[in-house]
Amino acid sequence: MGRDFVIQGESLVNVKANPNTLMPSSTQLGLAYDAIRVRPIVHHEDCTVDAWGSAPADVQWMLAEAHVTMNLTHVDPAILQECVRLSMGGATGTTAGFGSFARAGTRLGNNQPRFAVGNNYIGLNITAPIDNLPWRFFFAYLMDPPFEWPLGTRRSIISLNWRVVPFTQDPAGIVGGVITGATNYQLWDRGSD
Amino acid sequence: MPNNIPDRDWVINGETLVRVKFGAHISPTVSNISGSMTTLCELGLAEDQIRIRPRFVHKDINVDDYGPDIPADVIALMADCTISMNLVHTSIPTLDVCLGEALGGQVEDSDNDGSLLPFGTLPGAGLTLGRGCQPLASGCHYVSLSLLSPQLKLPWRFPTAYLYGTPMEWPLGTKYSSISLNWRAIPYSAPTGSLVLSTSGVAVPFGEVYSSGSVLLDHGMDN
Repeated sequence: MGRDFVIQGESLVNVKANPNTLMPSSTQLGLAYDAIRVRPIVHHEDCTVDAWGSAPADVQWMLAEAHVTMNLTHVDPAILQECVRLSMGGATGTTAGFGSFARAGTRLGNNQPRFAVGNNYIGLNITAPIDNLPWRFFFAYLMDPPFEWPLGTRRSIISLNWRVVPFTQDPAGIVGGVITGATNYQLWDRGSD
Repeated sequence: MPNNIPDRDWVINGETLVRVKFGAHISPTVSNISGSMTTLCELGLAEDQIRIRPRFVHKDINVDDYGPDIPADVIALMADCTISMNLVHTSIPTLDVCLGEALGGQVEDSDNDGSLLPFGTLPGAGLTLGRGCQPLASGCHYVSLSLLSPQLKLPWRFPTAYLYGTPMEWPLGTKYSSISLNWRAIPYSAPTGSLVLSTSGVAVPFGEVYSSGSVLLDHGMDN
């Protein structure tokens, strides 16, 4: 029988970033209050010809990104603040407290490999203890609005909006001297950091 | 009814990486540019479509019998080609050399002391870009411009090109710079030989320059 209920299980969120952060190895960010939502955003572009009017005669694939939204209830605030810092360009220095950002124009990837110093993207991992199908997003950051943090005497359910992009150091995608473009680029996988 | 549909398809070039190949005088030993500079370099990746505009030159042969406006025949008078591109993932050292070569050659090869003029410094007026040298030979300041075509498998190569007119427009600011470049390719052809001057012993280009067989562009690739 190939069908069954799809139950992810308790989705613990782990993050990992470059060695100059608070999470140089896979570190727990928090536990979700309710279902985490993974939404791939795919881009296509129409090939139009006059003979076919307004409908496309063919469609070109133009890559994809993903948005991941989550409401966390059992959170490590220090790790969350570090994620916010990295998503705001990775401010550094003694004056870079929570809420500080890097200068305008700072690149998140900074032409550095994954988890290299200077690369501010975050490895976003969602565990799956029941389904045994975890999700790993290689290059993630908190997008606008990065978080919504309700304040009060009751526990805070912090909502986070992640954006996952197909970062690369070489958009031409040259492998062994052959230009491949984005061929076989992996936006996410079922592994874990 | 003829069916030529198999001959037609979408024309999709693919990721158009721009490569340049310089004359043999460009090498790490004569370069004051940081990093390794070789004759074949990646210049950059285009942000949007690269535009190739050949310009064919013709001239009418008018005869009285045909009236004043319609030619009895037309002479083909060669062609050049302009290429415009907006590069977004760019090698700045390579671009610097392209600009220097287009200014008449960054290398002071007339004295040939092996040094480069500082970026933005002009060589003397009146220098030719070819210097009478064969394309890609040491001293030839034309750049072989290659546009790769991983999907269409139809690359474009302009063996003797240079940045012309307003060579570039470089927007500055916090956003990434999409640098627009304007190239001109001509069908350059070197003289057939050289002559050694009796007074100085210097060999100078000498001989006929033939337009026949000169190459403006092809679908090859430099390597």
